[in-house]
Amino acid sequence: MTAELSAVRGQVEDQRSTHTADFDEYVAVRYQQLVRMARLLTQDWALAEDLVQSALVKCWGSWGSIRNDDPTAYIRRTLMTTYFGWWRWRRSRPERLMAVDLERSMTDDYTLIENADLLDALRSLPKRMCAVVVLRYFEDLTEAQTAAALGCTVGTVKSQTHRALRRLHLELTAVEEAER
Amino acid sequence: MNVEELRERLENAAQPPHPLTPPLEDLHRRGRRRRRQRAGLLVTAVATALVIGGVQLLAAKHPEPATPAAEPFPAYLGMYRLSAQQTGAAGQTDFTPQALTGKVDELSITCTARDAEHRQVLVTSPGGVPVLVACSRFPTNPGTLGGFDAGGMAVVRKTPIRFRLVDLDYQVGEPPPAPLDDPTARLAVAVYGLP
Repeated sequence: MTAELSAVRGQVEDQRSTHTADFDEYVAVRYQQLVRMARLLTQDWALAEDLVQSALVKCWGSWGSIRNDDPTAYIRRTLMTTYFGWWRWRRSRPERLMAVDLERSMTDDYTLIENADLLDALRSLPKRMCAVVVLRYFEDLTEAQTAAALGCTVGTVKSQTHRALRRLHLELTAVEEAER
Repeated sequence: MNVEELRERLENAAQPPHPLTPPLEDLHRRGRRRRRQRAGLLVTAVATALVIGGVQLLAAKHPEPATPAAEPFPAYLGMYRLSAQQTGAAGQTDFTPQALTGKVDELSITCTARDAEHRQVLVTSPGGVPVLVACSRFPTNPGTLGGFDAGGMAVVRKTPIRFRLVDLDYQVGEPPPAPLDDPTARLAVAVYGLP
């Protein structure tokens, strides 16, 4: 009886360590891409890392069941629900960097200066619209995959994409004209 | 800006300024803590459900006793004095006039029940004519049922009189309905007599 118990315990331990190793391997490979996507959603590196880590922690417990399907799609969906949940909870717009902060961060984040207008434009979009743009044009997902990640219909993705592109165009054109 | 340009700019804006390394240990620690919290929540939810279910089961097994007859009978109602009272179950009670205390020439009764608004009381005694009397939540002036002497309902001291709650649309002569399927429906009957 004791031998059987220890055998079962050993199997569970083996399974757990396999899951852990598998999770670690997946995260090591995908972490950077996930944070980059989150960076476009949140327009902030620290928030992006927080968002990705929160999503990964949520998936950690069920890794055994999701690793055999499509973990990326699952994590992407979790990331999106976490992202929307955050903003629903906070209700307010995230903090924006001031000129002083920009100068300070210039040394280590040149992309912030180069793409300030784009990040501002993304920030001005409603969260779902922003997510559609990021998933469609950064992650290169199809409309169906985007709909699955956001939990909405393909029709919604199409209309949101159309509106988002128009708004981005208007925002960026306005910035360009102001600079001239 | 066309779509290709947008792709390019998004790609550029998402270039990390420094290498991003996942805090694996921290993720595992937070994952374990989350699992513990969720297990705790699950246990709490199950325990709460069990407690609620148990309380409901107990309440179903031991129904709260109904108010005996909405309002207690007073010792005097007008010039009548309370001689006897009793409460039945399932909307029915049998009363034997022999139980009367003191000397009563006639049977003056008042009936109360908690849900008396939509009901009346059918009074039957073996060999007697059934009579319908009013029922109220509050004790009202007693109605005379009959006397032990000549006149009125033939009342025999040793014969029990049955009082049963019936619906308002019940007519005398129809077969009497079955007792109410409600153990809490209590009909209380009080007999008053002239002192």
